[in-house]
Amino acid sequence: MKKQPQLIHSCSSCCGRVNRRVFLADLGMGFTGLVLGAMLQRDGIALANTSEVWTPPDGKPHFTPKAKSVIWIFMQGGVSHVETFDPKPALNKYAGMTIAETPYKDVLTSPLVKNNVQELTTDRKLMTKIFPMQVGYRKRGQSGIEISDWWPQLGNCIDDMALIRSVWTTDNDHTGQLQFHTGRHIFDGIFPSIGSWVHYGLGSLNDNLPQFVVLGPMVPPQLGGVAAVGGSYLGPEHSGVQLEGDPDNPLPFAFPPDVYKEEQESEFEFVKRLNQLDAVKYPNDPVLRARVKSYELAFRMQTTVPEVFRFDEESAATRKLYGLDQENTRSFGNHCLTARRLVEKGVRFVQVFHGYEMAGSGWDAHSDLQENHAKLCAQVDHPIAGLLKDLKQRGLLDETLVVCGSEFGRTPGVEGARGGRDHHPFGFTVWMAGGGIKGGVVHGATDELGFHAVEHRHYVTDIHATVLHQLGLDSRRLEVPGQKRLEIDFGKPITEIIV
Amino acid sequence: MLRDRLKAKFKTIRFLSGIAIAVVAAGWGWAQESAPQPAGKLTPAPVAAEQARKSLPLVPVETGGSRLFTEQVQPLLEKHCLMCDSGELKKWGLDFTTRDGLLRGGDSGPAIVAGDAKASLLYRRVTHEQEPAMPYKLDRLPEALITELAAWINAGAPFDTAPSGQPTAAAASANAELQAKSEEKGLRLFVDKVRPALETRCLNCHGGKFKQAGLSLVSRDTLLRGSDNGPVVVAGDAANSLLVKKIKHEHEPGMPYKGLKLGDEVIGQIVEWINAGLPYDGPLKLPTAVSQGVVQRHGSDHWAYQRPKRPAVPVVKNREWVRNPIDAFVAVEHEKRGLEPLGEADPRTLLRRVYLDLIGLPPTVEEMQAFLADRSKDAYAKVVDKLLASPRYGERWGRHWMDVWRYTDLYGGYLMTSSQPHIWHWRDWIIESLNQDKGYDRMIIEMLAGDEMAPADPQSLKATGYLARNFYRFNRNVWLQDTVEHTAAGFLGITLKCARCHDHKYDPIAQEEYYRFRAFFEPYDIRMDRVPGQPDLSKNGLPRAYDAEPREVVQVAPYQPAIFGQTFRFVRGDEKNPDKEHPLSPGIPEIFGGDQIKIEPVPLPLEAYYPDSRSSTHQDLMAQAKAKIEKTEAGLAKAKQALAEAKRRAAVGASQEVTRAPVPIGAAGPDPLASSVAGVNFEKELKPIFERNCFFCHKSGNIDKSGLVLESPESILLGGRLNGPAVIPRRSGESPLILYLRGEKKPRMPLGKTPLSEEQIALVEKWINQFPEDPSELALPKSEAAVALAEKELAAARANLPALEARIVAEKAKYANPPDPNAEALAQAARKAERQAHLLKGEENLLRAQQQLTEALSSTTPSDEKAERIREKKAEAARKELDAAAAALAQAKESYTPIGKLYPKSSTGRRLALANWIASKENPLTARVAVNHMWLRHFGKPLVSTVVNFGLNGKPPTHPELLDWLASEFMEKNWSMKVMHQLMVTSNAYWMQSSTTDVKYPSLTRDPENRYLWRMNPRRMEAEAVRDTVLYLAGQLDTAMGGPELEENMGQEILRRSIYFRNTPNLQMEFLKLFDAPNPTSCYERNESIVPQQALAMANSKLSLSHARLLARRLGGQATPVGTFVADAFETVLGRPPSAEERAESEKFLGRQIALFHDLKKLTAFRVTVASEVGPGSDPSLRARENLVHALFNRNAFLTIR
Repeated sequence: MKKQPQLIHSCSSCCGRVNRRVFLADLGMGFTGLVLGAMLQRDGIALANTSEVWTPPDGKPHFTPKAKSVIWIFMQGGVSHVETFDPKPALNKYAGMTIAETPYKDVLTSPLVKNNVQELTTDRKLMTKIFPMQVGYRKRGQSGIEISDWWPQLGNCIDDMALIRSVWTTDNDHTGQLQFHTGRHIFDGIFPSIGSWVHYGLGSLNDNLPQFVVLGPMVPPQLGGVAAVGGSYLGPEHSGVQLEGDPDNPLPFAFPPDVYKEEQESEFEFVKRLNQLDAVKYPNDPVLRARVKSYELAFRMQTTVPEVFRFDEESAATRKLYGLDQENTRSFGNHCLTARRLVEKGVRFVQVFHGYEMAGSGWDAHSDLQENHAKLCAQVDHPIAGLLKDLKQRGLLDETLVVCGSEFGRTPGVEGARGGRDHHPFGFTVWMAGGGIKGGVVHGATDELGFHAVEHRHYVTDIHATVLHQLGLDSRRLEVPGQKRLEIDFGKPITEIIV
Repeated sequence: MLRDRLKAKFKTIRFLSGIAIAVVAAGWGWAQESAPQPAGKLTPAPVAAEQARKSLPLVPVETGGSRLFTEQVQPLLEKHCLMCDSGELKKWGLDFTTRDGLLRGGDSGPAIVAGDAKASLLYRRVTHEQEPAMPYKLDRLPEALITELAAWINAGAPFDTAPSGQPTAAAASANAELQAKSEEKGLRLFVDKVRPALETRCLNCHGGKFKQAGLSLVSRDTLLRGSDNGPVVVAGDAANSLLVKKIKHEHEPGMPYKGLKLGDEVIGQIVEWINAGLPYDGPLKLPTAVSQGVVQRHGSDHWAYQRPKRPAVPVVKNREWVRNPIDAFVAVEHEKRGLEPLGEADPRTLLRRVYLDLIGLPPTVEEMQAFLADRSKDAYAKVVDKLLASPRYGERWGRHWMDVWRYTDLYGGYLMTSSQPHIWHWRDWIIESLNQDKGYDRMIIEMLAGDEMAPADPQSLKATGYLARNFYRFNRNVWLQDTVEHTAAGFLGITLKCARCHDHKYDPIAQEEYYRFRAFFEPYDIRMDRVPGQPDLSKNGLPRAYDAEPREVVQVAPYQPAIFGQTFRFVRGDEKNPDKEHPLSPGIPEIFGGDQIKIEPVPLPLEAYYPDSRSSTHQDLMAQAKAKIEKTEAGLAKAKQALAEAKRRAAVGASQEVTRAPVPIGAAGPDPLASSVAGVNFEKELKPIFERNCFFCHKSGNIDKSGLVLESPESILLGGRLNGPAVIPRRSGESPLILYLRGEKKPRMPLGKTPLSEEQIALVEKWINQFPEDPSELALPKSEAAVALAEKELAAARANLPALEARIVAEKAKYANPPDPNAEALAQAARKAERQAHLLKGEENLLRAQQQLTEALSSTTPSDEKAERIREKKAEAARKELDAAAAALAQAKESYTPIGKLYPKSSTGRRLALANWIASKENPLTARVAVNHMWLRHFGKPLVSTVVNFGLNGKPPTHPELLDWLASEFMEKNWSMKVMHQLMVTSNAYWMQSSTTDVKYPSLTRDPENRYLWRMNPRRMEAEAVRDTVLYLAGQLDTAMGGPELEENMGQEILRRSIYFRNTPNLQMEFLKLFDAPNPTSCYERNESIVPQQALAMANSKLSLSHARLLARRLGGQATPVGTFVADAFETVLGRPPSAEERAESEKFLGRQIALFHDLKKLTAFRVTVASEVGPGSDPSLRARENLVHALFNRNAFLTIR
């Protein structure tokens, strides 16, 4: 078939898809990416040739999606699963004994201990002296799922939540934050993060806002940094855009210094006019068109992005729902409310970090776990519950998948003299709600001590696959030529918790 | 169905085998354990298996095997295995109740491999060869039972399908007869038919030189063992044998790989033979004819593996179009394809193009005018020569090559350190080498083996930064993996990395050859040598490669990757599974000539193996020691002065001390430290600064190892475990906190964040300098102690100088040539002097520790628990110090300490051999790959679009002859890059316009992607060019060259070229990042994205705004007549005057803006207004013109190189 250069205006043959050749041309000719690709395609500019097998994502799901957007909440530092969503009465019973003295001594000799973890440091020991739960627990909701008493508000939402109590990873240090998002240990290198896969697979719902937004304290550079929300080989255009919760400075170069709005608007108009003159001169230049569009979008973003933070549009009741009226919950509540406002406006993937605010080490309770977790749970309990309730009352919960996780759990054994727990990647909890996920269910389990995930074990990419699945994407069909993905990268959707 | 499951399982394993470091394998780890062991380890089991096979007649599956199952195996499984009821087993993904279940296995892989007991996980577990042994925590099964089990598995593991019941004796004997017959027939079949087929059609890849996928068909054992991915045959069961599916092309990829399918008759014979139990009469042998054909069949005829032959320059019809040979090759394709090249670009477009291309900056208006005015024939050639001679050329093309060679500044820190401090020496070497037009061949050799080629030449050593960059703290294998992968990709354009886990799927490279290539690098390590003028390695040093002594470390600890003595193939790429039986020597893949490469050890001169024997180092160390004396002398003077002051205050008496009541640290009442006594309030003013910038690392319970906590004045005074007190009260200039915040000590703090502003640092300084003085009754003893300590310090420093000198003299004598007869005496003297210095140093340490202990113990009652803990820690640290100091004093030393470290006296020569081979004219790839990279950057598109894959799976060149001609020319011209640049940019191909207004232009239809270069490709400026050009046009670019990397977040303030700013995988200048700055992990070709954030960066950055304003003022501001201003602005920013329309639009715009600015009060401010360095002009007309220039920066035409 002979190639036809087509400046297609109403194309029937290309079915709105950018094919491989065009995609590669995008890469090679130098105007990469779906931002442009999607724009050109929508405008019918893309060249058509349908002989190739592989096609890049066309912004359409592979199958009918259950969810449109994702709010991905991540607790930095390592949340103790046994004091949050996976209470273990055995810890109270055997408190003070070493694990070897209990009937569960096998957990220490399980090959999972050795095989599961790749150590960054050699000085980490297994904490074996059992530390009792630092908080009570009770049945909550209709489903009667037992969770800790540090969730007075979130407990009311338990019937909307699915707890996956059998997640494991392989990084025993905080670089696990990278692994949690890319599915690979930092030793393996840097790979696309879950948010960037979603962005790559589905593209935009709203051209006026970035589609993969990150809120809250970023993963610090020494733990992987922005790579945790990066696009890696998918390209920087798929990386998360970090919005500072500060409406005065929401993103890099958001506002010009000492320039008036009218001044800028008029200047943009002038730039556009000059570019249009160029367009007459270079009628075949798609880059020029994309550039013009990018300026229009940028100009709109100056307004739309700060609008996201216009909380005075929210009723007092809503603000209260997120805990904005209390000092303790305000910061994280702001992020949660922002997240809702973003998905409401059609943002695909909102990632909210909690933990490494101003003062440091987040949930990493090596000592004083009780004090640390009581405080941090109180910071997030109210806002997260508010978020779920608010999404529900607005009818958004059905189409919004909320995921909440942490880089690992914490040891059943005590660390140090001051009541801490150490890192624990062998088994911990991630929960999901909304977006076609069953409510009030528990899936998978750790053993009696909360040591190993023993039932329905899930590596973190199963969480990723589930998220993609709910969005109508098959992780196996999201590939880029020349980039080998391993079986472990794909994960499997956790079908048991899907409606 | 079974097929599908097996397929899935194989797939799993295959995918897994690719995992670089098998972390992820946790739940999958067993799958690897179930892999067949290397032959040598198999001794006991095959015998057992063989015996089992012999003792039990090989019977047709449906009869004997299933009887075995019913009689022996089933009860065994029921009794010993199914006690973990099937539900329990299923938890682990196991199902022992069906054959399929066993074959499928569990989380760890298949439980049995039909036909091969030895490779079966079930067998290995019951024989206790593999942990956890089975039955779990119970006694080992009786030997007889295990034998039965083995026999059953070897018989293909048939399940009880036929109606069970005891076969009669007659039936049994009939079976035996049948069996014997079948075996005999099978053997005949093998000898006559199967063997020749396998030998001629399969053995090439599976058993000869190559063992693709680890499979060897040579013997029955190796065949049964299968491939790295699992078993391929089931003895007696052809239907379930993967091999059969492969040759029937029912399973992808079909076999023979990419070859003709075997005939149906042959396939039938192989099936029959497998069903007969696959008997062999002896090992297979590769027929001679085939053995010669092996290489051929594997793609040695591939174009990229042939040395480029210089093709004759073709004769073309369009002769006047040909400016140089490049054009002839391009024109041939035009004519072949009916393409009409576009005409020459106008001189302005061309000049801007070639300026940005060669130096990364546009021409100035004057340069443009001069070029336009130059009517001479060689006007353009002169410009090209001038640009290539400009130092800016090295910076521009240095950045390109830094992309390819993966330059990165040091990055990581706490957890993931890679690259090296001071790696910028390598960057500067790249720039200098390009500017000198050093041959590319020479550059390769210096980068890979500068230390072996010219061990005493610091220039060549800098080049080995190429190797120093790959350093990876945690894992030597990852380190070498990167080195091998990118050496092959960057210089040779081959995807050698694919052969790490298996034989290459496309190219004729065996897995073993990957490891032989690695062996060239096996001994290399990185060290930091002193550079003249700076003895302190933290301030400067030369990171460089050298060959180290092997240091085997059983468990590879972080921070200390082992240098291995030998290279082994990692089975399936798994570093935990090295094939220790076959150590590998360095060698290049056979396709490129194999063992012809000669390796000779390189003896090293003294200064190479003992870098601190250089006299420059001696001088620097002496100067350092002298400076130390001066510093301690000054310290003593100061301490004495303080003592005098304290005495004076004490003499004045307590009566005058009322206003300064002694308030001990931490005591109840107003805390002198925390309150604002000093004028700076810690809690209110300083803590928020630390909280925002420093607390991630420096907070109690932090993750930083230094142990420094910045939460309270006390914790700051206490300091960290590594570096001691962070502040010295009242001496801000010497306080480490300040030094680190200012970047005077590296790394600058806060790590990876914006440096604190000067005001903030000044505030901290003020706080330090206004620390309240101790009350006099404390001050006096403290001052006395300080003087005592300073005296000791001075004594030690003074003793150190002669000791150092004596050591230097002794070392010089020791290494003198001819030997110095006084060496022994001098050594004695050095030992003595050093001992003396040690004693004094020991006394100093002892006194310091004692003082610290005293201070810690004598502190007044702590006010709270926290303060007490801090004090306890301090006391403990002091006690330890004291013990250490005392112990050091007691120790006498046998000899003096050498000046520096000694390294091996010779280098293996491996890397030099490799580098010589890569940089040789015989190498078919090196020159081609290099000219392709250059072509890509001149023309916007490469000739071979897969720039790092010239192999069989890469894309062929669009202009093969041109590529070869360029490669030959490159080598003939001594690998001179400047010659190639000159050639490319003076070709007519380069001279063409990039676009046409004619949408019906025929070439547009015939070659829309411009593969055959009938027009120039327009491009966007790279990130660095955008930033540099904005600065340059405003007359602000600082052209200073070289030196340590600049802070990546100071790009708007420090006005040097972008190449000099820090660029790492996790730290990049935001502005550059948005314009697709290179990712140092891998960037063989730049991305060119278009995202709205770029528009924001151009529109809103201080960088573009300030410099637009400056440029407007440079152009005369409001004083210039409007028409002239508009014309000048267009000329300067875009390199051409405005069109009539543009002029009209511009003047309209200026009018509009002036009207706006007449009443600023009516305008709306943005929500946030911060001042930029250069504020807007106050005159409406000036401000409008600034807007105009800024608009031109934002215009697509500015960013685009046409």
